[in-house]
Formats: sequence, C-alpha cells, structure tokens
Amino acid sequence: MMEPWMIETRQLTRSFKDTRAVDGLSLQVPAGSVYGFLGPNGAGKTTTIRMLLGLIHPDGGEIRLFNRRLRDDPMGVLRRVGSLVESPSLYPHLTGRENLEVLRRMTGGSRSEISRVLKVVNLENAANRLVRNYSLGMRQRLGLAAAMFGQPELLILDEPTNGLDPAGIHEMRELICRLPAEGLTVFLSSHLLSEVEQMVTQIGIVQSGRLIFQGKPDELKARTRNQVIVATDRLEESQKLLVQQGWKAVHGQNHHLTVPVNGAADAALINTRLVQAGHQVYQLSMEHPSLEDIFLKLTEEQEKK
Amino acid sequence: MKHLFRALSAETLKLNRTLALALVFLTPFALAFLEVAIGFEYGRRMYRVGGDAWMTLISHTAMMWNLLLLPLFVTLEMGLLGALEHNNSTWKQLFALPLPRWSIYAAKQLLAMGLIGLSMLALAAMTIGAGLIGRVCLPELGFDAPIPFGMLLQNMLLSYLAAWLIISIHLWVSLRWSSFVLAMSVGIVPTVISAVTFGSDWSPFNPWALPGEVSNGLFEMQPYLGALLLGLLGGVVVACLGCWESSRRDVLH
Repeated sequence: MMEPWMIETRQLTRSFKDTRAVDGLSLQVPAGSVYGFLGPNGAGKTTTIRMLLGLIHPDGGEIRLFNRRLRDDPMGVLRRVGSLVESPSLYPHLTGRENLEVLRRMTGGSRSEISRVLKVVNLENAANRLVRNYSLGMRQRLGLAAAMFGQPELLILDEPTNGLDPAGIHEMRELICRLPAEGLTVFLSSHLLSEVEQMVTQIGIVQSGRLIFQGKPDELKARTRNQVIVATDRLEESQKLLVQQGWKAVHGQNHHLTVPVNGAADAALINTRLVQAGHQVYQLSMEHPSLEDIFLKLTEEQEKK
Repeated sequence: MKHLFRALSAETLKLNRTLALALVFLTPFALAFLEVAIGFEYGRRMYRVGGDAWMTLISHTAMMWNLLLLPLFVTLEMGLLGALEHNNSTWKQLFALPLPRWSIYAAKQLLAMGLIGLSMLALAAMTIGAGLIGRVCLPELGFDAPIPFGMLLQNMLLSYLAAWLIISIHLWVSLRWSSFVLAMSVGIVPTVISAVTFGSDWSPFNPWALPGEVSNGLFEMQPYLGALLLGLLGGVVVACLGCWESSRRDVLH
C-alpha cells in the first residue's frame, strides 16, 4: 500500500549557475505531522520550498503533493496548500482584513473565512488597522492567517519565526502547535532546531542541498550517546589518563572534559579511575546532547566532508 | 475567464489609498489647470478672434498630453503598479495561489489599461471644464460656441488605443524587474527623444510618439491608421508575451 505522504520529493535538483542549491533531495512528509525542515542558512531550504510551491522550476527530480505530481495539476494541488515564504507578503497600505479580502477575491472563498482565520491568529481587534501600523509579530500572524485561508490541508512555512522577539516566537509556536489538531499537516523550515524542537514530530536536516537526516526526533537522539562532563584539578593529565584507558575524552573550551559513555556505570568507573590516580574531581555529571547539539554536529560533519 | 475576473477584482482592491489611483485624476487635473492658467495669462494671443476656441483648446491639450504627459504618466503609473508587488515581496504569494499566472498578469494589464483610459476620460471632462471656465470668465475668447464632444472623444479614444503599446511595454518592464529606476529610465529617455524628434520620418514607428502621431493626424487630417494599428496591435502582442513570460519565470524574490 502506498504511504500517505503529504509531500514526497524524489531526487529533486536545482542549480543556480555553478551552485547546486538542491542536490538529489528525497523528502517524505507524513500526513498529520509537523515536519521540521532544518539546515543552516544557504542549505537549500528556501529553494526547496519554492519548488514545492511551483515558484521555481526544478532542474530534475519529481515533486508529489497529496500523492499527485505537482506539474500534472498545479492548480488542483496548490488549492490544498497554504504558504508563508520568508517574510509575509502583505500590502501595508491595506488593512489586515483587506489583505485577506484580496486573497478571498483571488481564490473565491467566503467572507466568513476571513473572520475565522483572523480569530485563529487572534487579530480580530486589529483587523481594520492598516498593516503598515502592525508590529512584526502581528504581520507574521497575519501572514499565517493568509496561509491558513481557505482551510488548506498542508501548510508550508518558511522560517515562520524569523525576526520575531522571544514573545513573538512563543506566540507563533503555540499557534503552529494547535494546527495538527485541526487536521493540518505542517512543513516548516528553520535554521535553528531549538526554535522548532518543541513543535516538530518529524525532522529533515539538509546541508549543502542534500538531506543528511530524516526521521523522528527520537531517532535523531538515538544516534548519539550520553556524555560525562568532568572537571578536575589537572585537566590535561586527566585527559591523557582516560584516553590511555580507552575513553574518547575531549578537552573542550570550558575547562572540562567531555567523555562519551554508555550509562551511569561508566560515569562511576571514570570517577573511580581518576580518584585512584590522585586527581581531584571537582565536577562529574552525565548529560544527553540536546537536539540542537546533534543538529550542529551533523551539519558540521557534513560541511567537513 | 473566472480566474481573470477574480484576479481583476483583487487588483482593484489593492488600489485603495494608493498614489497610483490618485494620479489618475491628479495628472489630467494638472494639465486642465495649466490650460486655464494659460487661458488667463496668454488667452488673447492663443485664441484668435473669430477662431474656433474649443478646437484650439482641445488640440493644445491633446498635444501636451499625448506627446509629453501621457508617456511620463504611463511610465510612473506602471512603475507604481509594479512597486506595489516588488516592494512588498508579494509575487511569492500571488504565484503560489491556485490561479494560472497568466490570469494574474492579464488582470494587471487590464487594470493598467483601465487606469489610463479612466485618466483620459477625466482629461476629456476636465478639458470641457476648462473651456466652461473660459466661457464664464473670459467671454471674449469664444468659448460660447457649442462644445465639440465628438472630436474631443474621438481624439481621446484614438490616442488611448495608440498608447496600448507603451502601456504594455512599461507594465512588462515594471512587473519583470524590481528596479523602479529602470522602470523610470525606460520611460523618461524615450519620451524626451520622441518629443524632440516628433514629426521625423521614423516618429510614426516610435512607440512613445504613437499617441501624439495619431492625435496630430486626426487634427491635421493626415493619415494615422498605421500608427494607430501599431500602437493597438503592438500593445496586444506585448501583453500576450508578458502573460507567457510570467508563466515561465522563476520567482526568486
């Protein structure tokens, strides 16, 4: 049986002059998921999103949305998609409601839909103000309202928290988290995993146009081991001692050693060995690398290749 | 066609509170105001005793409009229409909507032609207004004669049709490239050249001189059909090319 992928790309490729922006990208976005499309700036995220929306033509590969090829029926497919690409596309000389009315006239929706989306993004009271007087956060919310206009099944959001202050990011995050409950699949890009970590159910990491990881956040976490953070009175000697005994101890910049371990028993063993050798252990703690750490490590490794 | 009407309806809403809409009435008003001022200052020299004051006013207005103001107005108006989308980075949203791209472009084309047509209708009305002011305030100039509505409207209609080519050229340039400076340059330079070289052998082939050529031909009883057809059909062809090109291009901004 065919998987109900909302988005599926096969060997998607696009170059600009000599630069290959997207290189054989094969994405699979499950229905009902919040898919975090992550990668550093310039990794090819926006180019990919623009190709998904038919704004840029791919050099090669295939794009399928709702199990239909985009190029076979772009109008039919795009009717079911809402998007917010980079900054919101708004007319500042119009009010918030008029901006949505422009969309309504173009797509033929109902007037009640304008009120519905304004309510969802909590902009009802500011609907009749000119957009030029909106704060950045309000504009972003109106952009999201525009993306949600017409009750799309799939939302494609490119860096939706870009430029927002912490309160704005929190507000936007809460909004997006509510969307899957309304039956929406969300595909959102970001260059910061920490910004989307709490929202996503699936992750795709892209670097230099290539997909380097795709799966659930837990699968990403499972790729790395716990680590012990050790601080002693003689860091250099402690590091030598642990390395001699087969530990991959690394001396970080923060006056401590980082040692990958398999569990608490390893942490206790490291402590015993150091104390037996006469080292004074000031600190010993075990931690699991955050998703952000794993993401940074993955993208750095890929860059070195 | 459903898509086209939808897009056109949205385009008209976007004009709310814009300079582009205000200029549709301000530009002809400026010219009509100038004509009234000229009437008061130089009326006795310009309007000959026993001459046809209305025809003098209409032909003078038509020449000022068609040779200079109209090409510059079209340049500015199309530049403003393009800036409406470029400045707000709205192409990425417009072209991701479930509407054929050609319908969005064609709606802009129709809107542009509508705005220029409206400004010329306004100019016709304001020209009559200027003449009526002359009839009341400067009775010696001869504006008490019947108003030649037919000639006035015929001139406006024909020069409007001849302007389709520059409307289409400027709209395409303004929508295709985000540079407002480029859009202005493409209009100002040829307008100055066409004003200086008006009446030369190749003037009837210069898109920016076509409205003036047609209007002049009408008043001077000289052939103008070639210039009219070039402006009209050329405008349609460039508009179609614009629709085609907009459907193919990548939206990178």
